[in-house]
Amino acid sequence: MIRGMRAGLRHQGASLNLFSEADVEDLHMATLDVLERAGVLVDADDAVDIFADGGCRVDRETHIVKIPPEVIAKALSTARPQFLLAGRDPKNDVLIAQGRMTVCPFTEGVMVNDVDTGVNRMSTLKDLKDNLRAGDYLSSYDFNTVSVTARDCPEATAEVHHVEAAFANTTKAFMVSMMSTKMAEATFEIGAVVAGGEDKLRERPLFTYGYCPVGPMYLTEICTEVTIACARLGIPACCIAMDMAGATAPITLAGTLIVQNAELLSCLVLNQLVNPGSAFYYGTSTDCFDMRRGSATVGTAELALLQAGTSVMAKYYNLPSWTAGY
Amino acid sequence: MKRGIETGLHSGGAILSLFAEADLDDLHNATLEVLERGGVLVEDDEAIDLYADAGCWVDRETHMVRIPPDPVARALLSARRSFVLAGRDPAHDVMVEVGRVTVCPFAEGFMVNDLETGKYRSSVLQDVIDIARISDALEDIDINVCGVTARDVPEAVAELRQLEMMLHHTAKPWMMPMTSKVMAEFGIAMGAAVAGGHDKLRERPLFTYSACPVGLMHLTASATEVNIACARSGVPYACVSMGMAGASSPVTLAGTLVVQNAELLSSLVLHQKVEPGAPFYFGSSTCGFETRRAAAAVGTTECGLIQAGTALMGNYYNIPSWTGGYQTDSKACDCQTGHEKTLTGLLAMLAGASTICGPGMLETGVTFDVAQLVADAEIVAMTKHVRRGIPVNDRTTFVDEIISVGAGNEFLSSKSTLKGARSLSQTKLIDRQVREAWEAAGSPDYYEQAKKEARRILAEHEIEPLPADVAQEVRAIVEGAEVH
Repeated sequence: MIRGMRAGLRHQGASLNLFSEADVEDLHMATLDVLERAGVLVDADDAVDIFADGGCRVDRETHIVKIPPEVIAKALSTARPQFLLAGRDPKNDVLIAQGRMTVCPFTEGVMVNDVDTGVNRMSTLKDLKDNLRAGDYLSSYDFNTVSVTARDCPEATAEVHHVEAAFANTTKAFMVSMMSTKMAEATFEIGAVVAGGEDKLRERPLFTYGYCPVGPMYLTEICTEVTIACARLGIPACCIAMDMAGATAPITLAGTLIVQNAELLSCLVLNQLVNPGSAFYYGTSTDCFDMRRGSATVGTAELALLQAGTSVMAKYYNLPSWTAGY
Repeated sequence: MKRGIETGLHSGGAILSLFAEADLDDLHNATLEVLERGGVLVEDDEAIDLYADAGCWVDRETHMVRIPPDPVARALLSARRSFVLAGRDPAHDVMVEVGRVTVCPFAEGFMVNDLETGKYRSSVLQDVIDIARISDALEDIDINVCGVTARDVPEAVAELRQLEMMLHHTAKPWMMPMTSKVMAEFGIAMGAAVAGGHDKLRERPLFTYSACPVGLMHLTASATEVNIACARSGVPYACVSMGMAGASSPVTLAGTLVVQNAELLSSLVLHQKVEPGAPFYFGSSTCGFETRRAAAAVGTTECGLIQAGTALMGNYYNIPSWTGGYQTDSKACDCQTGHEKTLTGLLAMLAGASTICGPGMLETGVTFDVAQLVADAEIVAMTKHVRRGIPVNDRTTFVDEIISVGAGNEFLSSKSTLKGARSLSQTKLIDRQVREAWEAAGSPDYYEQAKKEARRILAEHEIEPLPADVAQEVRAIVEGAEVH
């Protein structure tokens, strides 16, 4: 039996339709409006300077930075749709790209359920090492994470212990939370030794630094330090909005996506102003605030929708996205 | 009138995109080819006569019925896009339609986990009653079912005893598997007694019968008898294909959908020949066959994708679809159960199945567990919530408020937050407390909480009894049938 050639565009795989094109446009336009008229609160003076030089209207008294649309358009035009996260073993290299999905374990817990005793207790460096080895072994995880804080290490320098443990216990690329310029520079040095030089590390970044703006539209010193450090050092920035619908953002999911978008786009602007073309993850771990119980909740329909909405927005911007899940 | 949650044919909401238009055309055309050149095997002579009258080519020796495209097209033209399943209480009426999702519990298990003893045992008539009453009380269950077989009554009369209990113990419409013309007709008489006559039952059918063609494109006498009885009486027919990819159909999901489609469309041709416009569910409980273990598996990605594919074919044909979902192969309420039920339920939900059947089941459909039914109702509520998506409009974006609140402040004290909080998902059993509160409450376990809730419902939930004379009339039909 001869069958004619199949015609038409084929669509492969299962995907989610969440927004119409007009919905996404609306969310984008609303964000532009918010960034231009309300602006973001930026603690650190060096970051305010960079925003000012980049064409934003800054108020040095109130630390409010208002970002006009053309500055955002420019940042979006220089941002990368994909970047490499390199494994210490190159067969574990991962291409982080808009439109392709990868999975990594959770980051960053402070307690563990002990695998032997079942007791819920504080996490230690040993736990981190165990988790890294398990994450390295499991083929479902495309790259690894610093999954728990080593609470038996000094808090001020925890990151260097985390990165040291990561290099010793996985040959996959990994994500590590970062709290300061100082720690970013120190861990970059460790990475450079492993990679065989700073240039080599830039070419094949062995890790990405995770960090968070604080809602609503508030970029703390930690947030801008790591955003700037990533751009200067050439390490992919994993910028993770952590809003809570009903607390740091409006109760509606659409309103929450707008607040989150304002935070992420303002961090992107800062990142791209420092070094156009820097690798930047459009990230979220935004959830809902449960008013009755006074706590954040993550295993919810709302969290799932917010993560899905974030990846749709990232697709619209042609940026790789980082979301929670599982 | 209860209407299912809207799906992608309306604006807004989250929907699954699985096929290109051309993919659906290909599946349809492949089915037409299979029906015309391969045909279906039809056991029953009356059904064969009807097919012949409808313009099909029948071979009375081999019982093969080959169906050319035009009878299929005629059947698709007369099939309904929506129909009512009526509650004994009209407040529970459900509109079953293309583009809206409803959920009913699993039908039909033959083992249960006993709610009181926890013991795994054969299902009995009292279980039918308990499942019906609990489902009647659960808000997220739109349609009720006869959830298990009553194995403590003689098999020959079990269906009618079950049916009688369903008429007594729920005010919601319900669904029940049916295996023969005789039983179907007795059941219809019982329904008519409750509805106030055959005409009334046709207008407001209180239940739907399900029957399964047996793959591979084999319509058993039982399936065609129930099909014809439904069409004649106006009781909606849930035609539920039960293929197994790799056993009764090809191992590929696309090939399986084609075989299933051939079974469903051939059933539809018969059904619409008997009574054009009679209500028909385009149904599937098709799953994968684990060749390694020689067993069916339903809590799988494959099963989820087949159910979603079935819903999309139903939408393509503009016929209400009926699929599995919220199903599992696990034997207990555990991590696997939560994963498989969410996976299969969410796929069917986002694909827009008109009715999804599965809550309460464990063990590939062998076991019904009423605590699991209560636990699953919460999963159903969450997946319905996902289905609603993220509405984007001037009432939800709050741009002016975001600007007036400003950077670095909070929304906790906003009026809109207080007002909108109720629109977020609420849970009864799912635990969202912080650890301290959870430990203070005795570290409650999901399944244990569900058991408590199931017991509470059984103790407290009341259903308007049937009028005494109607109950008597129903009883007389059952007794008459038992003599018969």
